[in-house]
Amino acid sequence: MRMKTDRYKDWESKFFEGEELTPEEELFLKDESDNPYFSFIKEEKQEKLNISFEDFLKKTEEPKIVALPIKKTSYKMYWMAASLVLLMGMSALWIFNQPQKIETTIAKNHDIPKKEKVEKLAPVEETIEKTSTPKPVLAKQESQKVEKISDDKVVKDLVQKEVKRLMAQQDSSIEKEEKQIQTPAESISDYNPNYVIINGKPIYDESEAIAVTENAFNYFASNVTQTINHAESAQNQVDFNRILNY
Amino acid sequence: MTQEIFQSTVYSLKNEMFRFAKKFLMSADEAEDVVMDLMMKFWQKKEDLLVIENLKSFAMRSVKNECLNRLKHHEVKLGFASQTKHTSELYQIETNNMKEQILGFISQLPEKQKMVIHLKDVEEYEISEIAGIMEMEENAVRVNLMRARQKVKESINKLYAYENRQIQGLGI
Repeated sequence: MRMKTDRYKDWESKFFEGEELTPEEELFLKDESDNPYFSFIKEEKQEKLNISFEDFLKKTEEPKIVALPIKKTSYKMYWMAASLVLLMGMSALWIFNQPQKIETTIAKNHDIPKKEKVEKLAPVEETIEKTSTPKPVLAKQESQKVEKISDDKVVKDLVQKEVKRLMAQQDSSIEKEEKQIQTPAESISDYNPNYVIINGKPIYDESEAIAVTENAFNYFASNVTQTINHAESAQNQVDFNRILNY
Repeated sequence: MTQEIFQSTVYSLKNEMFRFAKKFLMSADEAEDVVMDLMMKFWQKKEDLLVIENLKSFAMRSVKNECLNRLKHHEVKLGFASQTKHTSELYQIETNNMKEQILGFISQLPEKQKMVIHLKDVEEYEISEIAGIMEMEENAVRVNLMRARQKVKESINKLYAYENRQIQGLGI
């Protein structure tokens, strides 16, 4: 009995030192040892999961209900889409409005010189028409008018040349104005000693400016003489009628 | 794999898996959930299980991984904390339930020692099998087993000494 106890104590000490015992030694310790650890091991092994295989099979056949997460992002997506569309619309408006403004300003700038052109060209055309289709009143006056027509033709050629030149100049000035619109720091109204503004157009050459001024005065003079002649012919007509009546 | 083969080879491991899971999670309900979840997965992939050589080791390793995943969960952590508190309170109120006392000693061991001592002493696995399940060297398993048993033995001796002092104190 004492030998058995000594042997069992030896196995127990070996066991707690972590040494491996034979299955028989371990079995003996579990059955015979008074150490509570061995009885604990035996009790622990009795613990079981009481679910039969049939119950498990039933569980496998049950459809598994998986709760789907609530999609809260749907509203977020709507808001995102709406804001995106709004942003795109605003940007499109901004982009398409910018060039239109520039075009309108350019168009306005084009209109102004055109009006000036009309104003300037109108009297010239009128004078040409008047000079090209004079009303014969008297033979004397007709001879005078032939001379005048020849003079007017020269003037007309000069005027046409001048008008063409001015037109070309005006086009170049419009281009310059467009450039000035793109660079608003500079403006026409600012004083520039490099050119002289005549009838709203900048002329850079001095002799050219003098020629334009002379031509303008010539037009004025021709118009005045023409008007006077018309008035004289009308007076002569009245006098002639009077004589006939008497 | 037929139902019968599954029952004899895989489902027969449920008790070992349950006890092992309970050692990790400190909760019988959680351990049951783990085992049933794993069994369902095994059932769904029962044809693939035919390829596995050591089903027992594979099942226990699956339990370990599943339990470690669940331990990350907040509720399980809270349950573990309350359990450890409960066991320490048990020690203080001088309960005579020796099984609960030893369970408390084991639960206070480091994770590896706890698993090794359970697999060796309760489930009676070989050292090589434990090394496979725990993914450790065999020597490391032996060292962990020795330390775990020594700590349990010391705790039991301390408990005995404490109870003897109490009895002597009452006798005086």
